[in-house]
Amino acid sequence: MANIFPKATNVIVIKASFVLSIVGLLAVIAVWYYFTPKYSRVGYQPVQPVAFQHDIHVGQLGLDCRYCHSYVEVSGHSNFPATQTCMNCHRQIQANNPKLKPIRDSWATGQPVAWVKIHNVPDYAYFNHSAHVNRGVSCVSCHGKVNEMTVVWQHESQSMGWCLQCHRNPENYVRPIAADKPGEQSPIYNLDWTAPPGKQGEIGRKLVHDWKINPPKDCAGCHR
Amino acid sequence: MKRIFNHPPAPTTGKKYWRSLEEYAATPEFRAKLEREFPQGAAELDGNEVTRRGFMQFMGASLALAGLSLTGCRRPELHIVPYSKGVEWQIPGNALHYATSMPRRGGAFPLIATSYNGRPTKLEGNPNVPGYNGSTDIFGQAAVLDLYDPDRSKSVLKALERGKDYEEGTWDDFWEEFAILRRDYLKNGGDGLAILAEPSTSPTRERLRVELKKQFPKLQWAEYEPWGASQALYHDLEKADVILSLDADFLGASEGNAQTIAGFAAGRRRLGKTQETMARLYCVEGRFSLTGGMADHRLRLPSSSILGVTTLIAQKLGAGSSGGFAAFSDPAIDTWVTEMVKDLSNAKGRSLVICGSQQPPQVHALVAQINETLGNKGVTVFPQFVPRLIEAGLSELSEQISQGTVKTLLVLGGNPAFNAPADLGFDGVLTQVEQVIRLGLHVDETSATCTTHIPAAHFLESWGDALDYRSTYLSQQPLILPLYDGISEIELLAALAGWPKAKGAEYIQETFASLTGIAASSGKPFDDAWHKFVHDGYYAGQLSFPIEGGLNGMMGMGSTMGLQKAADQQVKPLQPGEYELNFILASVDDGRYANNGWLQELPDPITKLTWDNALYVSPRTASTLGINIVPPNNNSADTLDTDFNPRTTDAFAAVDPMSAYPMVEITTPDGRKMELPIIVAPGQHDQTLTLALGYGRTAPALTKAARESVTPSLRVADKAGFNAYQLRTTTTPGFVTGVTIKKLDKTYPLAVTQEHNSMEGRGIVREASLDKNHSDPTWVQEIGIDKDVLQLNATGGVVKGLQHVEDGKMVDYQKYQPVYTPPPLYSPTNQPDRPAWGMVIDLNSCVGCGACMVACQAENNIPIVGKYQVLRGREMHWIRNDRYFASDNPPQELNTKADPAYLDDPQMLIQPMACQQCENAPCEPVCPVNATVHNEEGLNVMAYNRCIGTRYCANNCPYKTRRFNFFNYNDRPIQTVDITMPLIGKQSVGELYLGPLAGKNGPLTYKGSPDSIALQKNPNVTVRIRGVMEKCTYCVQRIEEAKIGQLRRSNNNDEGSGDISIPTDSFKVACQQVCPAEAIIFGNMNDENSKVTAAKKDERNYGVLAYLGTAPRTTYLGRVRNPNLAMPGAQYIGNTSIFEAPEKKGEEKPAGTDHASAHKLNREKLTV
Repeated sequence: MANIFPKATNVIVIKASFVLSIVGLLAVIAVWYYFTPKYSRVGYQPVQPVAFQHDIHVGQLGLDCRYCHSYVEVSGHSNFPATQTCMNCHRQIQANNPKLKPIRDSWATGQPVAWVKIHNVPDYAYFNHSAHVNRGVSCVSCHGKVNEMTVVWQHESQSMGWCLQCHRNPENYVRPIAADKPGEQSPIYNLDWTAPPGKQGEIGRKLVHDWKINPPKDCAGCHR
Repeated sequence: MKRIFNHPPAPTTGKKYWRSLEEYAATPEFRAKLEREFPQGAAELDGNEVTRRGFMQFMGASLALAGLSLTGCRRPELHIVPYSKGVEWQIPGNALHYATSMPRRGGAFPLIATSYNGRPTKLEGNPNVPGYNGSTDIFGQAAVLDLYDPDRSKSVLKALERGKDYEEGTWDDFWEEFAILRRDYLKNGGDGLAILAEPSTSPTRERLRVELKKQFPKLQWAEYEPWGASQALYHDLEKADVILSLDADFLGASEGNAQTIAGFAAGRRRLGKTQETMARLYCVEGRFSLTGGMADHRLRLPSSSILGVTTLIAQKLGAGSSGGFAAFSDPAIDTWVTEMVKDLSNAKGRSLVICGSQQPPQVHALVAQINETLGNKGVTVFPQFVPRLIEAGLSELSEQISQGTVKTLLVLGGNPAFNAPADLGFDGVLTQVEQVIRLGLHVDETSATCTTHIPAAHFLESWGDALDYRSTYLSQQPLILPLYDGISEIELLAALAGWPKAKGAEYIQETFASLTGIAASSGKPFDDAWHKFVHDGYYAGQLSFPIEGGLNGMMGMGSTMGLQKAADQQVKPLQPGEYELNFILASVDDGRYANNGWLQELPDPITKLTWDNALYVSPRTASTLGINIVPPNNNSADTLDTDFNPRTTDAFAAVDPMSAYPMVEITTPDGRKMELPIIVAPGQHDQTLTLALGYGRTAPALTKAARESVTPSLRVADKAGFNAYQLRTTTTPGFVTGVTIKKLDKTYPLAVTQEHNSMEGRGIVREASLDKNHSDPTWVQEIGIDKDVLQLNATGGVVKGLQHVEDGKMVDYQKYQPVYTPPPLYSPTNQPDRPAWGMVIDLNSCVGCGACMVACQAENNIPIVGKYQVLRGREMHWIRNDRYFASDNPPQELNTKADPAYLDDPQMLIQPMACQQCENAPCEPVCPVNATVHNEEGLNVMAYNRCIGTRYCANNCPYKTRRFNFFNYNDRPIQTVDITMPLIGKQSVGELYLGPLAGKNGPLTYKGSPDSIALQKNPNVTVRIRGVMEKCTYCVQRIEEAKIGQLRRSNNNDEGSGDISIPTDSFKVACQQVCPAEAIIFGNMNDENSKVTAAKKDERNYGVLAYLGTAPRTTYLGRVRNPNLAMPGAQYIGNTSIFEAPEKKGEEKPAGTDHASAHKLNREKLTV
């Protein structure tokens, strides 16, 4: 009986398995990447109920982060401003701007504005803002240069591996709390502050030593 | 190398420690149970939870729905909703604390409430108020769950057909009708108007009562409380060296005991301070209570003999007239009483005699005389100031109603239709009244008798004030607006009095002004004083009492039940062969907390019974009734009581026949009958039967909506236990004598947790007598095999003189191979610059009240699982109180059968057991996903999100302190409900997770767990779902909060101190904070000044199973008993298993005085 398959089919199996394994590998890599926070989170830029522009308020007008996020130094949760905070200025400034109607409505009715959450730390992770901003971690480290964003997007992946980069080597990220010169803004809240070129390591190591910075690297630091 | 640790055999002589009768008798069932990782059935899903077909249908429907919406594949849009106007003091993410107080029958209890964004989540004791040590009890801890109870009454109900059908009314209509009612009764001076209230120490309510009496002179004001309403005395146990309890369970988990436990524990802790003395406790009681367990000498006598014994004591002391009662005469106890009286007289002015509130007034009067003779008045015994005597009780009111003089009755709180004495038939009496308006937290038995029901506000929702047991004036401020639209008692009475409606605390402010003498018109002085009062929770200054009627310092006549006059209360002496039925209060109190899941699931401290009450009988009595002492003690497992729950009937028998308890029928002399399951309780007097009140609630479904609801009206209290009030009459409020008992051919499933998570008894609890402690301070290290193991390592594993069974014969014990024990990786010295958390539990002061269990549940979002789940060993408590009995080892030939003679009078030891935070934790290396690992501070941490639920860790834990979420208990009903599902139809759903089908957005309107319960959850602790292992974390959220708080303070803008170390003992873990006995000490072992460092240095400090090399961070201080050496049987008290039992020859002790003697006399007579 003659061979049903020509001889070339012997090689096809090998070739096919080679190609399939590469395709399979690529598929795994693609799905893997698709599900990482780097892909799924970074760049998330939802439409907010009010077109609040950080670049105008912070970048141009020079508002401190803490004017609105007022409890960041004392609470684990960095609060969103109450409508009242907006109305402090917008009772006079841009008082009839149609873009601010949701704010005025909220003020009149007492119904809060439902801002869309961008940075979402899972419920089983307990991130504490006050522990970071009081210990030399600037807002910019996790949120990017919000002072240049018209509409805020997620700048960092904020995955656990990303957190641990800093928790393992804090000297690469921490900065002084006190302003370089009296009257200047604290480097924590000055999002444009950078260490003098080549000096971050030196500054960081000094701060880590002086402040006894020893960030938790075990589970219980964040997971309770 | 795998390390096999063959324990040496347990000693066959001396004392034996056991946790249950099965363990004592070492039945094969018990062995099998012990060797399982989980109790039988816990790890299996059987056909009764849901049928296989139902499950497939269910999963299919779930999948189809999930596919339709595809919501799982997208990032859900989340929102942040800030306030529109800022709220004063409120910082999102941070807790606020407010002082308030919880009204109780014996005076209010001061509390500090923790509130997150306006929702109270946790209650703690108020450390500023004198007399409590900042502690709380189980009721104070559980009260926050009551606030969020989804079954609370939510609207005004008006009767369409009284007792059967009600419709929802509006508050406006009610207030309109109420104004008319007031106007009508003003005309006739209140003729026909009556109010039935609970006794209260609130000066504002008293002010209102006086005001109402003025406006309505003919108003009848009656008060009723089913238990010990007007205890007129309080005690300072700290100052007492010798304490005698006469049937008083002042250490039990009942109301008002936090302060007595605190005082008692302080007296025991003198040992630690001076190494010389500590308080001594004598106890005479019928059932084995926690007080009896702590007692150095305990005498078993029925409650009805207490009057005779008290008379005997009074005679021996020469205390006044003995009241003309016959002294108890039994030569067997004469030495006991004589020596005890000697001890009391030697401690004049430093002693204390307490009698139980269930005892008749005659006993209280005698005890008052005894205390007076002993010079304790004003030293350890103080009169409690109550505003006045109760003018009318339930009996008087009942009489008037029968005569037809009451037209309108306001029932304020309470639940008289349920808990009134049975002979009054009060539910029937109530229906004779034309108009009954009922203010209640729940729609309950009493609501079903009324014409109008109005919802009451919880104490955390309303303004109030009250005196505590030592007359400290406490404030009560609301933490939250009424969740269910309720009003307080004060608001209702004020409306009746025509006072203008208060916007806030106006009524209380007026009372405060009159009591303190600071006029409200004075402006700033008043405001300052008021704010301080509300802020501190109490008023520190002197009070004037302008309340009409003045004060009655009722020294002595602590009338017992507030039911009737002293003369009516007959104490009939118990005849041989007769039984006495003793009423007690358990964790649901008089029934008012029956719908509180934390309290229902809290095991009884001694019998470990949950979700039910049962009749406790002594082993000998059980034997007489023909009931096996050792479970399975029913001889007819197939006749389970089918009334209980159709779904589970077979399941219980199939899962665990040992949970089927035999039922008996008891009959009181006046012919009241009741069928009850029984539990064999060692240490109980043979003629005493004990039954807890407050169970067996039957909440009616009054409205159409309630009748159509898939859940019962009170979903937690439903079918939990039996109503013991139906045996209790006005003449027998404390105990009934002359009860007969008959075995029935029926069984009933009871969820008893005692054997779950058993540890084999190898020197786990350790105790010694005070003498031994003095002569050999290192005794604690010589117990168990800790010492042996050290020697074994030196001698190559051969134990001289110890034998064990191998291949059926006894051989020299030499199996143990000495192996290398690794040094702990996380010992404090390895990380000297970091805190090293550790805990010490002082067994000498722990009384076993269980407050730590409820506190842990509240703090750590631990769910309740329901009776059926407890039966299968799936309870979730992170900390449990192990109760050990200690008695003599019976001779070999009896070892497989429990001989009641050895169970008559055991001693009791309690040991709280939670994760020991081992430095070499056996759970860690077996976890395949590193979900449980160590941190640098010595905590054995759990990363819930990593856990995949292999349960290897629980298997490998020698302490059995890990708990597994077999279901999503937080999103799951605790009872079976029938729900209708699309495509499938009616399906009976029990523990099944309803997933996306349930809740608001699912096709089922029914949701497993009510939303209101979610409001109680601590936001700092993960709420675990099913498939996750969990355990004690040393309250890691509190540790992290303390650390972060210090970081914040230290370095803020470089102005801080720069010191990041947490101040010594600056925070407490939940179980430590609640403990009234201060038995739990937690802190930083690397801090030389911390309390825990000092406690670890104590010579009595030992680690449980430390010889395994686990290096536990939680250690214990051995228990010391303080026997009076002149007492009979004193040499048996406080012996630990390593000590040879003293030779019993040549000394015959009177029967019944200790466990070691009686059985010798009686063994032959018994048939087991």
